[in-house]
Amino acid sequence: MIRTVLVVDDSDTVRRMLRWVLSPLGLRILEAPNGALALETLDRETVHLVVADLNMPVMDGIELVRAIRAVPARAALPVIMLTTEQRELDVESAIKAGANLYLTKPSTPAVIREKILSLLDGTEAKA
Amino acid sequence: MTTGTLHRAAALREIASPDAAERGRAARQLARWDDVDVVKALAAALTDADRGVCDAAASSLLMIGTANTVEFLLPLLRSDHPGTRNRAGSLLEQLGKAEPRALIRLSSDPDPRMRLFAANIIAGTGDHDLAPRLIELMKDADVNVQDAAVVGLGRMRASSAVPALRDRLRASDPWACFSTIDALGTIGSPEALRALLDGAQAADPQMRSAYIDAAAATGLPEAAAGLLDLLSRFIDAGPLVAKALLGPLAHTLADPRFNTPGLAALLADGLARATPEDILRALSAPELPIRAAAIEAARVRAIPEAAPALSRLRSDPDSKIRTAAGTALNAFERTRKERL
Repeated sequence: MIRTVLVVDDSDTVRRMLRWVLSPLGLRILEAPNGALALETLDRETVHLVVADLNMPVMDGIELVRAIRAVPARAALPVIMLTTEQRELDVESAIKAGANLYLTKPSTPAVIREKILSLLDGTEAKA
Repeated sequence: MTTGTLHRAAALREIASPDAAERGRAARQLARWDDVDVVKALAAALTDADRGVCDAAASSLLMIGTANTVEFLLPLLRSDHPGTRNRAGSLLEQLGKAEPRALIRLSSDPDPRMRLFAANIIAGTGDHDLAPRLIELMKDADVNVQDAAVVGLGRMRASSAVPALRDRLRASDPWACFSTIDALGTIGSPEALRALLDGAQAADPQMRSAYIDAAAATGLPEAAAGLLDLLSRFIDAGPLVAKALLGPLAHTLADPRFNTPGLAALLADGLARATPEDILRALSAPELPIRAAAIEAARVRAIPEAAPALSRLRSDPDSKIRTAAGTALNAFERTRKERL
């Protein structure tokens, strides 16, 4: 089964970068430029993991995670926050909202791939 | 004007109402004034718990659009709430041209988060007069600020930044290198393409794929020839070059110099894993090498839905296409008979 990762970021460059970073893993990659469009994608596609930015227009990353966790069927959907925001306040908000992991940029391609595979395989402990 | 003053005073009272509908109405009405008290009240309303009030305040601030609007929005970038930060950032991208000095000041803030916002906002203004400041920010002490400046120069399509970006291609950090490659691809000038094609020569295969995608994104006619030259040195780049030639660079293949059997074979390989729909589309492509490749891919894959398009191609203006289409149809017919 080909697993699907939804990349949510308002930066075209970051979405292209993550597509490039994940290309060796043979995953199907979907993209959304904000939280609201990510939720629409989740309604129509089977997604196995979400990688989301924190600062985005329309609906930010924290709101997105809350909306994901508000749907019982998505309670276990792994969500990684990938952001430049490094303050403890933002980390705590994201984890409290239900994010599984909080990664700060810049992160190496190897680390991103490893974390994504771990969460997809269910071997990554929460936060 | 007395009536205006009255309305203004009432609206300033109403924007603090416990009722969200009243606050929203007040936020909309306040767009008619541009004094400091009004702008201050509207900026404060951007932190309202009700999204409708925030949206109304944002619309009014955009309509006012004065320099003091920019000054009142800047502190909101320090908010603890991502929604408020993002809303302020989006507004500043649209209003920043009214007070560029404020953005320059923000770009020297001691907090790297503010400098990062500054780089994003400057890029969002699209004001090329501010590109030199982004080029300076490429040497910021914080790597995320550097990166935001690079991405911003790409967004602005700042061709003046190509020499500085070319130097940054030597960065050992893959994240920094990718964002630089991507920025050059977005700028898309002939000089940017040259930097990409040169950089691809020394890159490892994974990074080379980013160079190829970025060179393709320029859409320049010289990109196709450059990628084919690259392919002559790095044969493993075949699938990526074929993808580029069938995608963003397809239009460049109308040039007769590309009507070669070698290119058709490369493109046919590229189509080997494409969906039948992609192959059917390629059969109608205006570019001769793509039609030739699609005929070959349809023949090898024995796609029955391709038969009508192949029949049409028997009347193609190019004799090689007519012959190839006939050969493919004959192969289809042989396969059909064998199955019977």
